Amino acid sequence: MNATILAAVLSTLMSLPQETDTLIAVPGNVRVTVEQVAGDVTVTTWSQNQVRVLADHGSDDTIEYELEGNELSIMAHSNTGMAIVDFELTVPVAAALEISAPFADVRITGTQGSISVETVEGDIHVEGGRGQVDLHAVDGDVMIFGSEATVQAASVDGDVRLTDVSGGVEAQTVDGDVILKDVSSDNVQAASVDGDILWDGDIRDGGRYSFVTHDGDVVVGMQQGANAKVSVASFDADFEFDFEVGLEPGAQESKRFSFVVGNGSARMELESFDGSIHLTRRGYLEEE
Amino acid sequence: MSDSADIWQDRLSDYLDEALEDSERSELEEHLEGCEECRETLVELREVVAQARRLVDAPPVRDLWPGIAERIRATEERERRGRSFTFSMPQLAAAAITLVALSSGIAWQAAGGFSTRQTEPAAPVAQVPAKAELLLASRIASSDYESAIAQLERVLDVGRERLDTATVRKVDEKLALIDKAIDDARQALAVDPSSAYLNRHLAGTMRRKLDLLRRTAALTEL
Repeated sequence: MNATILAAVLSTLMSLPQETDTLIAVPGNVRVTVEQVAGDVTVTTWSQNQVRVLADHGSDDTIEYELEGNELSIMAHSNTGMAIVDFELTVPVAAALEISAPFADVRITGTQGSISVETVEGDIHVEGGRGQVDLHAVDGDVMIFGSEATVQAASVDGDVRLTDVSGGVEAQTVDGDVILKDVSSDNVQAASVDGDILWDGDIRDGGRYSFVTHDGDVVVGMQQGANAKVSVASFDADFEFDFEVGLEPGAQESKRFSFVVGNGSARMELESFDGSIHLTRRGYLEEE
Repeated sequence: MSDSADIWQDRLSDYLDEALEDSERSELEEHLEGCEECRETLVELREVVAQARRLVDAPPVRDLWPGIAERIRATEERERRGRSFTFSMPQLAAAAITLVALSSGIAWQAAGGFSTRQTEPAAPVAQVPAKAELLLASRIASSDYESAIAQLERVLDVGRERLDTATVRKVDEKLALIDKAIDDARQALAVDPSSAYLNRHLAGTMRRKLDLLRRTAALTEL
């Protein structure tokens, strides 16, 4: 924690705790933008065309709202420097969300609109989301469940985990694992520099799947009856195949080879510079 | 570019590496007969590979940059139209980005790295092991890209005080992690400079470094 945040925390502790509870009438398709510096953000939904803002903050902090058309902006300010506010928002189910909260854990549950979240130090946990879901953290995990959206999920130091997601996926981290379970998509790109890539999902005919890491394992659980041309590349990886893939003798020694599963409809690239590449059957993550 | 050409372009480096199965190689060769674009790409890919091989012992005799730059412009144009191909771009574009990344890497090193390390001496270019990459990259007039790197550094210089010290430290750690991966890839390339996979891997890793720098620069605006 740097000096600015420490000062803000001390200021908040010295100021009187205060709770703000506000109801704002909004269109059902409202886009809610939240800008704050520190504190947690929790978002749930309801069927009303209103946004409820429950905020715990210091007496020196103020919460400002601005509604223009279907755009609702919620901002936290502090008279003493940095506002530290815990937000609990209840928004219409179809609301789109745009949250910028550098020092916050963000948890969103149940929304059926697009979602954009940016944190620096904090985890992002999303259940739901449709259309486009973009989640970015620097120091924190990114987790998405039950989303029907094109997903871009990225962390720098943390895991990225997608479960039960339908739609195009681009998931990456620098130092962490990318875990993709029950993802239904014909376009998946997952990458890490220092971490594993774990896939346990159906490979769709005609789909494109790219799983790339530098120093980590790539483990792919493929369903019975899958159709894919699989390209494997490595500098110094080990390979393990739990079912027959029809490799020519010596192929693994070359560290770069390809093979066809079924009719080869989908394209799959498995790359680990210095880890292991393991092809197994769908469901392995359930067993772990 | 037709969809089928797009699919086959992704396989051209494997074709050059003789990594395709017999049936797939036959399909590709059949496709090449009717696809001028893929034929041109294959010729240029061969040039890139041949040049990399020559550079181990001798400087290149022909600059590929104009053609590569044109390809990058075309790639960017397609990207602007909303096409997604972050990790599965055609091989020539990958090769081009490799060269651009290498070029920017040199600019990065010359500039002394991330702004938080400015008190440290700049890494001497000569310590980078892949002679071929350096020679190739040093010949590339990637002024646009180097300009972008310079702009990033200026943004970071101005905005770094707005970042939490823990964040800066974290970003530095992860940049070092990426640098290690870049070094690994370079050392591997020194052994096998014509490997399309290693070139692509190096390019991808350097892109991640640039992405991280861009994201860090953007954070200063939060």
